[in-house]
Amino acid sequence: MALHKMINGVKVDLTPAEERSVRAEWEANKIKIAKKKEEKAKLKAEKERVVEKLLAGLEPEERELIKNKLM
Amino acid sequence: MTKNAWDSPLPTANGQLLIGQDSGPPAWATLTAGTGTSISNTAGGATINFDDALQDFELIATVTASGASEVTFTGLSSTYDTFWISFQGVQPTNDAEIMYLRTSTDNGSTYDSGASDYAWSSSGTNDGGTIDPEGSSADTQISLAGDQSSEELGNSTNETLSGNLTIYNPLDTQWTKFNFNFTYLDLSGDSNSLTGGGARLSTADVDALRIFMATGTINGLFKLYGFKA
Repeated sequence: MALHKMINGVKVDLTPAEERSVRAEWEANKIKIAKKKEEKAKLKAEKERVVEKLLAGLEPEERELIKNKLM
Repeated sequence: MTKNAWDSPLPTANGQLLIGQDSGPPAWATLTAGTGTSISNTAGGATINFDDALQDFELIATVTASGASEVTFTGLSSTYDTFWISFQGVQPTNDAEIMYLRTSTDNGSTYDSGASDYAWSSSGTNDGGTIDPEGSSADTQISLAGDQSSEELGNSTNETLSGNLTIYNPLDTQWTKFNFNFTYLDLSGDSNSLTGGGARLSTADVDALRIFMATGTINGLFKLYGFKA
């Protein structure tokens, strides 16, 4: 089914060129978002590793409490 | 016989009010609707013109989107210096989406998407109390909602977003600024509140707006209002 856009409340079908452009942007965004998520997951893991190292000498309950605050 | 509102409620018409006078007992006043709403009795009257109070805030356009690739508002006019968009029950067709905003300076023929065209920041708080800030000093669009990790927009029942976006002086020669506030249930059904802002990093006048999802179509009700300059 052809894509459409809404301009000031009016439904307008996309031209074939516009549709190709929109679908290409969606694909590019999928890759961009996946890459960003991967980078954020890496940062989070690194932060967790550092926090664990800092709190290593504490009792488990204390460690968990402070870790929750820091993370 | 005692003449008061309790023992002798004898107004001459429906919708009357009992109002005190400088001397003598209170008298019935009549409410009259018209270009203004008048309240008057035998001691005089006053007119409250609600039209005057409301005329600087106008509904410009209403959009009901269902599977649209984008929602755009074009022809932003210098009649207004501030625009306000109400988002009601907005939902992506795909799960785990991010909602974006771009601007145009040629009335919607093209939308600016350069790598450093926009700056934005936002802070989301979920129902577990976790606060998650996000932002960018140079981006291809303003990220309105869903950019926070694990708090993307969902497409299940009730996973909708409502809120508003304010656009300040888009036709002025200074950088156009934006504020937004949203409440939504994310892709996990968790409640989120999000507040943020951003700017189009250019002095060019903004005369059209494009709201869209990152990887699919958009649904919901959008209303554009203008505050007169």
